[in-house]
Amino acid sequence: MVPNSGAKNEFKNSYEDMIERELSSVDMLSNEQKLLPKSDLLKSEIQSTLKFFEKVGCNFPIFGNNYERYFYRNLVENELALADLSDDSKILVVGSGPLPMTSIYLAKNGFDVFCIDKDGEAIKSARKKVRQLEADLNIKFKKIDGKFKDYSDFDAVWVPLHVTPRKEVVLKILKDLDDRSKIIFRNPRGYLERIYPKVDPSVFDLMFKVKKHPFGKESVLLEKSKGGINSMKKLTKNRDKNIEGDLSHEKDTQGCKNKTLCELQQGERAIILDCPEDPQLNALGLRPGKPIKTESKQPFDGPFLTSIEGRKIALDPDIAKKVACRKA
Amino acid sequence: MNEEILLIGPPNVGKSVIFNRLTGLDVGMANYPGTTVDFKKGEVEIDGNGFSLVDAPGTYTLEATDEAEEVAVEMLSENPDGVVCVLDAKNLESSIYLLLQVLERDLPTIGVINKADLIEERVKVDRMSQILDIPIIETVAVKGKGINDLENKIAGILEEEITSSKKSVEATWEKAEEIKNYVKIEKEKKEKSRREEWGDKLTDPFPGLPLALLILGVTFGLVIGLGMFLRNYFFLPLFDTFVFPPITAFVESYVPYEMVQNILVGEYGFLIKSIEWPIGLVLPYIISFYLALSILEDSGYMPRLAVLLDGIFKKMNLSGSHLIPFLLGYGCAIPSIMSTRTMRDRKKRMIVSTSVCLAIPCVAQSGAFIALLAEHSILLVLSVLLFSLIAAFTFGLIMSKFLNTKRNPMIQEIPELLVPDTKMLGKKLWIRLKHFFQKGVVAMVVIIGVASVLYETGVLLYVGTALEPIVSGWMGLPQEAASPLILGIFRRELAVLPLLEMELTTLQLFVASVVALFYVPCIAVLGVLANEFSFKLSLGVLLFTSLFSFLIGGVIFQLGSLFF
Repeated sequence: MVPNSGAKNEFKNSYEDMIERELSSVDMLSNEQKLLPKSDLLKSEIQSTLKFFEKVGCNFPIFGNNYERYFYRNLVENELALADLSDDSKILVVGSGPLPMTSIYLAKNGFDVFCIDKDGEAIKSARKKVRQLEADLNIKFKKIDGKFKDYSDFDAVWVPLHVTPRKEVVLKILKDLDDRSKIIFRNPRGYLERIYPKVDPSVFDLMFKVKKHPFGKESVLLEKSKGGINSMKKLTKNRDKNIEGDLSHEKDTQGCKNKTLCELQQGERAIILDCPEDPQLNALGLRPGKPIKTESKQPFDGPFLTSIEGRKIALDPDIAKKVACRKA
Repeated sequence: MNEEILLIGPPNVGKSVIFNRLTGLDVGMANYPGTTVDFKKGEVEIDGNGFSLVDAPGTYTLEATDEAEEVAVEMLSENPDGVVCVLDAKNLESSIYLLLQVLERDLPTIGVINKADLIEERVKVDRMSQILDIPIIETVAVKGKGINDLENKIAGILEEEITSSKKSVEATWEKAEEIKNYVKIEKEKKEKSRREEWGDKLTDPFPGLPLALLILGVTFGLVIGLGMFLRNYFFLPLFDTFVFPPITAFVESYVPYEMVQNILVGEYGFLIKSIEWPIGLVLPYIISFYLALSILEDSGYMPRLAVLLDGIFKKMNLSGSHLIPFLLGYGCAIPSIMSTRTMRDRKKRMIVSTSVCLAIPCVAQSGAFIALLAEHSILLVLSVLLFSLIAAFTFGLIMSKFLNTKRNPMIQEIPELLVPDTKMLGKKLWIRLKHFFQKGVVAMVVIIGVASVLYETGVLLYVGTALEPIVSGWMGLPQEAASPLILGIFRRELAVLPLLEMELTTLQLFVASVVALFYVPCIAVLGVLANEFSFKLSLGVLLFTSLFSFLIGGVIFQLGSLFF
């Protein structure tokens, strides 16, 4: 047996445990949400209005084509740049809807696209729309009832904004997905946050990347092969001290030990565990093992001011979130 | 051929200060990373041995990440006869890493630990010298300490007493750390000094941001106030009582022809204007602006300002570090364009450079604006400057949308806050004044001379008639306003100064100022653009700025004339 695979399995198991726990907490949460009818009513009104627009777009191509051009082409292209997929990737789109813009653009980029939706009507009109395009696109549709199991066939899974509850869906996909596969899910931003719930990408405990788009959306890329700091830590801990395993789990999921630089409190001291390899960053002292302290966070999403061995360095949040550290 | 010694080291370590000390030359120095972006060469003689000293841009490592660093690495690859590697006493570890990389090149090398006065602990120089097998010395270059020692060591290289290191140490971060621990005695950190406390306060959002507004406001007030004071109470009275009357009297009594008299002392009188404009109107602001800029530069406040404003700049798809080129642009667009070499993204470099060219007035032009507008109303000065700022950002924003650039995330080292050394300030101001006299005044005098001949011979009037539909019809300016537009091609302030002689209304003043602001950046700037980017870009800027300035000037006049 390869010595590493044992550890890998351990990681896999502990990660799946975490998913199970998260899933059960999601179920509780979604029950709670059902008790709030008033605001839900408004939200569902707006959501169905959007759906209506999509149907209109499907029936009147001129309207639909413009809708598509303004909202979706850039969105999908940005997402593809984020995901960096190989050319022959197979993509699953969960909840493709009646006007499957995302799927069409993915297919136009040459990918094999498979769409699933619970709504039979939506599937029908989506098929119609694709036929209207008269382009040779590789899109297949399937109506599903409840559970879909074959996530492991795909290289990437897209979860659009209107899918609810997205957190649960993403967790389920994560559970069944191949280790190398990627998930892109969309989050609301700005005014859309009042209509759609926002899913905090850090709950999945994976390394993630976020790309913001205009018109109130952002996309989050999750890669299952890149475990987050907590799970990496868990992995090493479990290997070292099997006895303490359960206890330390509890502690770690509360996230009190390992953080990214973004999450440190002002004035908090930490030791760098991992950071990007960049000659300038490394020369400024950002290297694993170095003590780091956050001095202040600048307003308006500005840089983090940190000090490393007496040297003061301002780092953009985009860089700071790639620096993993543990409490000193 | 002369032997060549290369100065190399991390940014903001003081290479340029050492270079100036050794060569007696005056290259730019400041307290922020990225002051030097191109190499400078100077001749030095030590004990009868002549050699060329080369000052390279700062580089953190030999894996270059921007154009300025590339220059440094390239200089090293040209196999100089010796290398002086300047190390930062405060950040010894990363300096040692660079030194180890330099030593791998197998060149005779001297290590210089600069800024030794900023650390409390001592570096065991002999230990370091021994394990690396090269001479190591300590200096405080700003104060001139240790420079003699360095000269002796360089003489050692020239006489081939000092050769390349015989020990080979692998250049890794682990090694660098190990060596640092071996040579530097760590001390318990003492209480923060008052200076350090202020350094932190100025960088914290509170009170840093309100203080930043205050500092910018005070600086702005000081630049304008001091400039106006110098002009109104020193230069102009001096000229009006002691200089101009004798010149006029002399010309009128000894020069026979009236036309020549007019060329010399008439309306565009060459002898009067070539003193009044560059020295009476522009020089006061050169003094006050560069005094303020030098204080901002040497105190280490500029990077702090960049960090504080990064969040706001981010909203405009820019980074706070772009602030430094913009501030420098208020002096002159050329150093501003050069300073963009430290940006990692070439497209961004181009966007910042062109926005500065388009809408940021250089100090000479600002001086001219104040001369033209402040008499009328100080609000007019402020509105033109505000207009320029808004235009620069809007243009930058449109360009970055158009070129679809990504924002590059900020990585900015914050230097220590220092009280600027008065001798150093004096020296920097002197360098800039010298530069102004050599480049600016000479060019202005020549152009004013040519212009006064053209004016008296009627050529300018002829051109004015030809351009009348644009100048008068579209922009509502008097016909003579065509001549500043022609002179403005050569220097920015000359697009403004001739307007002084015309009786303009408030609206005309504003229109003329805005046109001058967006009008062609001076010929020297176009040359630098062609050199740094491409001839095509330079030509594009030339065409765009002239057309755009006419367009916006006309629009303002047409709209304004509806109300006034």
